[in-house]
Amino acid sequence: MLHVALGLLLALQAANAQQRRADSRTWYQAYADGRRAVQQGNWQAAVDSLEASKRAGAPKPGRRVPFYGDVFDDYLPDYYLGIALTNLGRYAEADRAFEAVRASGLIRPNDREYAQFDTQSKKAKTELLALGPSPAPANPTNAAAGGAPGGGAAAGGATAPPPAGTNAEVNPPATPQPTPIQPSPAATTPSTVPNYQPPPLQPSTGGSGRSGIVPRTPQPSPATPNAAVIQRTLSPKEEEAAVTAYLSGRYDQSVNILGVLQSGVTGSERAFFYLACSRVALAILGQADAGSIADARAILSRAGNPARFNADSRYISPRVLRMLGVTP
Amino acid sequence: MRTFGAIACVLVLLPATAAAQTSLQIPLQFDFLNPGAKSLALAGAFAGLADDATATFANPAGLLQLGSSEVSIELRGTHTNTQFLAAGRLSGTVTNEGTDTIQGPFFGDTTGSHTGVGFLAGVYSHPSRQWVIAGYRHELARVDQTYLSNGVFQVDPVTHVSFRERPQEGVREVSITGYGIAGAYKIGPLFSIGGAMTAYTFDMNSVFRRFSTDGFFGPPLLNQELSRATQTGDDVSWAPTVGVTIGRASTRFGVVYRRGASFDFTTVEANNPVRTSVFRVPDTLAFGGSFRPKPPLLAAFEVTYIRYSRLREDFVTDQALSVGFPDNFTIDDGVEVHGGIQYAVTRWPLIPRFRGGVWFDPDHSVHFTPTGDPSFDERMSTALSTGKNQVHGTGGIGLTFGSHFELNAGFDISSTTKIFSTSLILR
Repeated sequence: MLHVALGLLLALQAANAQQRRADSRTWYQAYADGRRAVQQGNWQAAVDSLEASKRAGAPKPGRRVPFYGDVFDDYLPDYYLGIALTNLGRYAEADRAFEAVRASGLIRPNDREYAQFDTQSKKAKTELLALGPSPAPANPTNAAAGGAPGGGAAAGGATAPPPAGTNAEVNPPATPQPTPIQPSPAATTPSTVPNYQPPPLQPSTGGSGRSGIVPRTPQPSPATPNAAVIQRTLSPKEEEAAVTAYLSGRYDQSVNILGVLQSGVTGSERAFFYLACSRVALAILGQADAGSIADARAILSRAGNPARFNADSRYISPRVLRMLGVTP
Repeated sequence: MRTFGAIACVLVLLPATAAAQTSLQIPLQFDFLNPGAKSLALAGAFAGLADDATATFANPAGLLQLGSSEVSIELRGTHTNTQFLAAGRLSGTVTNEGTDTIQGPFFGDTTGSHTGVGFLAGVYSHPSRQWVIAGYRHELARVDQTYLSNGVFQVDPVTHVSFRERPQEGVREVSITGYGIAGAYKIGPLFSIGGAMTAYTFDMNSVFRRFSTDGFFGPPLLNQELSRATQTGDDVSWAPTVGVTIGRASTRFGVVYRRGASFDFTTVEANNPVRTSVFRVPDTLAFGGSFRPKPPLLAAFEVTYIRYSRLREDFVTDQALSVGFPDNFTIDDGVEVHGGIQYAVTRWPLIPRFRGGVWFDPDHSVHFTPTGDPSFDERMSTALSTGKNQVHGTGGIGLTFGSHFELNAGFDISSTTKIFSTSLILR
């Protein structure tokens, strides 16, 4: 009887927690909250709200987008997301957000956001490259060094590989370097990674009709690491931290730690298994889109035979396992 | 002289009937359009849109769409023409003596104009975005009519004797203002409910006076008042509104029910005892939708059912009591159909929004069923023949000044009504 009561209590608590997580804000309300949080320096709240905005059926980012009624405003979620993530030290994600802004061409040198965009995006990229082999604080999927479509002037397209013998070769950045390409004339090759300063953002020379930042030649996927670069491996400590995060219900944190596996960083099959589970858990909670489940299945395929993780599976929700195609 | 004596006798017998005619033949014009210049320009199709502070009245559930708190104020001017039976000869042949010079009925126009703060609202949007609360003031109705009827000439079908309705002057002032509190709660991402409780103040001052004439055919002698009747009311009454919205910005539907308030008023007639009656504002049930097929394009519709028949008991029947035929006067309920469209030119400065619309306003004048008294029926059926369906054309523009200030202007024009409105929204 006591067990039943306890079970009910736990179920109720779980339901409440789920309800609390449910975000009933419209996309523009979440965006306004996120923007306000950025102004207040409340970075995590900003990230939560801006990501909620993108999940809540928001239109394509743009200028003078209809919000509600007759309110037309600029919708630049990635710009604010980049600022918040940079201030949270999640440089890879910040860089990815800034690259999305750059690719969209929505922030031009004459825009009021440009100065901040320029400063923050440079900072994110510099810090990202300076991270070295230390545990990545964030998921560098599709990261700066060529991850975003076309890279961008300040990204891979303008980043020549560091000269041999520099710190970068001994302590490679968290993400593999892309295959070298012809650097932009405006780009400068950093002498050492910590002191690396990205080149100035290049104005567009056409295409969109706006003098925005346009992507450069598409870069190779970071999942194809350059053989000349030392391969980073997820440490057991990181893996345990991710597993602990997962089992504590902090799926986003688990994804943050394990997400590097999708960027060429190697790890154990168990790490891939937990990454897949985490992605599905986030999708169930509505914190990731439905496409995340397909990604998770692809990740799981890299974990080998799921039966090897029967011991772990006892602590995984049967719903998660079912969605991954694993028999609980 | 015999003829004059007979006519004079008839004139003495007519006052009560004439009083009923002249007060009932002037329809009480209610403005049930939603407040706000934007709504006005969109032909009042706002139940499903309800996306600014005027939603406090139009459909409180829509308040949850607001991205922030806001204040709205509207200045509205209304110009209404109402036809009334002013003179003429309804039967027999004109004598061309004195005022008996017009064959057939002659309708005069009474014009009522009012300009003032039609709507004022403040909306507080809770940071949780889960609920909203608002307060508002809304001028639901403003009627200001004055008319003078010369008195029509008729021939009694039995005696073939001419008789004349007594000249009458009428002054009718009705003012209904709502002070409400509205709130809305989000049930889910796509579903919101809202409600309002409104205290309506009612003020009515109507005076109907009868005058003597300069001989049988002469003009009214306005310094010789023969009798008067008054209707006065000063009351406060509460009435609720409930509404829901379903959908998101691209497609949204709304339903709203607004209960009409009821007020006491007093009628004083020459020799009759003082009567206290109830003035019932019609209930409204509206269903609407809004669609945004492309970001700059918005379309909205609304179908509104209005229970005008509530005005019959006691407001109409009270005026018909003195003629003894209260059951012969009715008002039909009406179904209005509204449709509006907006196009925003986002690349232009101030992001102008051009609006236009059209709406169908069904006849909601007092209808008369013949009583069997040929002279009375002739007069009343003529006097109440001017009611008709109408189509209103609307239009307007909205401009945005910075991120905190919005200006809207709109108009609504029909064959009898002209409304102009300007509203400001501060966020």
